[in-house]
Amino acid sequence: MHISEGVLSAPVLLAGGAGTILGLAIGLRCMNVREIPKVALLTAAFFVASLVHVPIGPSSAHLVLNGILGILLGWTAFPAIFIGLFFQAVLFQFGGLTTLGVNTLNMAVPAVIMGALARPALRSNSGLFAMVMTAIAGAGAIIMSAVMVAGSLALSGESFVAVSKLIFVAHIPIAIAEGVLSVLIISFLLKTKPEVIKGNMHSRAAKLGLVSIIIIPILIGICSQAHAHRVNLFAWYDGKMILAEGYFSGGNKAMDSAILVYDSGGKEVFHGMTDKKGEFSFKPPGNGEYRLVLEAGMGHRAEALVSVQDLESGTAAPEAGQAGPQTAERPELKGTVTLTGTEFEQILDSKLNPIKEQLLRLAEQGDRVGFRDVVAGLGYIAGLMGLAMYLTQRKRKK
Amino acid sequence: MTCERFASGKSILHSADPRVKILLAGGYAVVTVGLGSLEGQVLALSGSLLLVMAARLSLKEVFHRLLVVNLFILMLWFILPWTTPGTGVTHFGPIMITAEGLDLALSISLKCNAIILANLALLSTSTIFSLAHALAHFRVPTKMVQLIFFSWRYFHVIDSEFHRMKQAIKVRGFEPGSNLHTYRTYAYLIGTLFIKSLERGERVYKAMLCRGFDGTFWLLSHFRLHQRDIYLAGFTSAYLFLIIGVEWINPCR
Amino acid sequence: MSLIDLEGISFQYPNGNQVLEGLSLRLEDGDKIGLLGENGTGKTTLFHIILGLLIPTKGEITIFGKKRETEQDFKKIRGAIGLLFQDSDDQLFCPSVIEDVAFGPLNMGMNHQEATERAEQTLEELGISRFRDRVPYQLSGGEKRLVSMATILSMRPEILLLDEPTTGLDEKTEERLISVLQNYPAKAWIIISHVQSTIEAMSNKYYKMNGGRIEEVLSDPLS
Repeated sequence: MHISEGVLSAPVLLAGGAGTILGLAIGLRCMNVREIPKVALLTAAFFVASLVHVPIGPSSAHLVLNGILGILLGWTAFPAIFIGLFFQAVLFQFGGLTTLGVNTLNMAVPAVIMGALARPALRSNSGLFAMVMTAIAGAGAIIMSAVMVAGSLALSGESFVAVSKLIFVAHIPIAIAEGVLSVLIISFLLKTKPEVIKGNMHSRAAKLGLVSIIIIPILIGICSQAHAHRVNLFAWYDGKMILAEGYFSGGNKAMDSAILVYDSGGKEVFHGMTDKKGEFSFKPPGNGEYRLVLEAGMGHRAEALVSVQDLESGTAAPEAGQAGPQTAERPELKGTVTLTGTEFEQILDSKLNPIKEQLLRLAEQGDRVGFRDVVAGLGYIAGLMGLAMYLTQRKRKK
Repeated sequence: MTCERFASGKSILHSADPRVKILLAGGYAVVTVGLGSLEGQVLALSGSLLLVMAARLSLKEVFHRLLVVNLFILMLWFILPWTTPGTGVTHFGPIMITAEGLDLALSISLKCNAIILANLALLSTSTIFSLAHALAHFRVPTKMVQLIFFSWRYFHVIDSEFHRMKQAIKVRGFEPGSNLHTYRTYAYLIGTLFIKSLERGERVYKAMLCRGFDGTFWLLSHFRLHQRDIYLAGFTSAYLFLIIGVEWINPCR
Repeated sequence: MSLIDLEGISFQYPNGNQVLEGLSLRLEDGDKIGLLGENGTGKTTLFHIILGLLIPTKGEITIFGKKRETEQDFKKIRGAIGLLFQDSDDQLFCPSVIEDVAFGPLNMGMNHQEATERAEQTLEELGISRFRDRVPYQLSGGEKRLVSMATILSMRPEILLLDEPTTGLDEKTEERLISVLQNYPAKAWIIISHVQSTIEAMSNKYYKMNGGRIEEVLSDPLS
């Protein structure tokens, strides 16, 4: 569950750090000085328990227990997790110091949210419903953490998309094991010392809900972002051939990738590979709509439509993406022909369309970078808010 | 459990002021994380190797620590070269190995090891207590510092308690497996540990009250900046500026 | 054939503390050994070595006529040798007494019903059936000691290793525990205690730990 040093990009590290500072500020505010020994002892207990290896099928995994931590500690889970990870980074070189912020956020946000979800149910009754909620909290916290870890990796570069998918899948059995364990641990606590759960562990449900509402969209944004690294296929008809070019949203060419061409009836009419420049060409057998599918591996797949209306004297009509309808007829160009104004415009159009398309794609990429900045920006704002809260808290103390 | 393995020693880094070491470790990490050029990364790694030498850590132990981290990096070496789009170098069947992927994996390996070695030399040569103490001097909220102090103080108590409980179930014939009996046993064990910890926490607080605790934590300041701390800070930051300079001349690949 | 035969056992903790040095001990059928010695002379360490919880740096361990070296070797004997921990809180961890007492039998391969029956029977023998559904950690010190005794006896061990079984108990509870143990058909036991009455009532041989070794003493040196 830890991300090591040197992997994540600077904006992700900064956003994670800022988010963690905010979480720590809230967590420390929720904690009374009187509670310090208790929280510290629980932190130590969690740290010890997280070193336990539990067998899962043929292999084993160490416990995370952030769902339970959220149920028992609420917002104070933030400092508890932070300290646990700090110890691990300094003592065992697990995780790291630059990634301390991101790693804390990835584990603590699910803890807080899942804790807020399960606690009302546990406080009101201890029957089946409460246990179901506990299972959801225990397993959900792991799944959510895995998604956030995957998201932080994917946001740091599209190269990590495959790694992050792998990490997500690897956490599914762990989530199930933690769900089962959470139910058993909580029912143990309910039987032996119910006041731990039912007692006066601050009922700040309203506040929690509010913040969860703010955090969840950011999470969803990050998740959706993880899927946004796609391969693009751009195709057009130049009068004789269908030309296509595949590239990844980072700008790298999709070379040696399989490309399939279907006609309007869905029948495969051609298949081939892109060359070293990510390009591909093919001579269409007749008029009609063609659908090109590029398979660039690892689930990267892109499609484009090209219509061939007048074979031989063809018309260029790129319809991939948002390009406007270009259905201008172009007269045949044989020998020297004097061009009229409109004819010239049409030729220009047909030649410029690919470039237009490129520009549109570029603009799209610009948006993508922008989104990343927005996430980082939100992180900065959160950090500033945390700082402000911290300062007001200090003032109040004096 | 012997955790603070590197904290005892007599090197210049062991005796240095923890405040200086925290600042240097932070600076080293920030500069290294941002490096894009191979030259800069290699310099960062050699620099942290020098620090480890200066700390006179047992190289065998250091290597052992690095091994664990590098397992994760090894996984990246198996995945990144063929999932990173870019110019192909060679291919195995349908799998294309790209230069960009290899570069990325190399860069991560260098940076990760550089930061970890620097942290080993700068931070792991202090005890957790003195690090927490230094944090207090950096105006980290007292509550946070106290949490770190207490967690570390009782970590050992709880760890040995847990160890004894594990031995007690072992002599009663317990053997872990993938079954509900194992899960229930672990859950009870962990639950018991939580309750014991909570109750110990309450007792600790009561004992503190008996000694006149009123919410104030007194900090007995005893750090003093020595000449050698200034040399250490000077050399290390000069080296960091050298790395930044090299990075500036060799822009990102 | 002796039940337990230790030859030249040495043990050093990772922190460098050498507690046992060339220790030899034989436990025969019918031996009721009272083990004496000051704090920190390695009595508890010795118990942990017999059960394979600690691996000696030197020496040979033979239990039930077979040499025991690996974890696998020791697993086979753990049901047959019952170790009562010094602190009952280390031993009790379940949400109810009955579950805690049934834990050992379950590990020995009994099914749920058999294990529960065995547990109930054991509680009955110790006269603590009324604790059946109590939460172990909420019991008093003496009650906890009786329950942890039950968790050991429910596995029907042939040898008992008792680490301070009566320390901190009042006279009545002490007498009760001693009578429980004297009625239990154990082949042999070793008992560590600083309580004179316990040692006298439960031992027919006295051994003393000193300088990492063990030696037989003729009379009870506490008296």
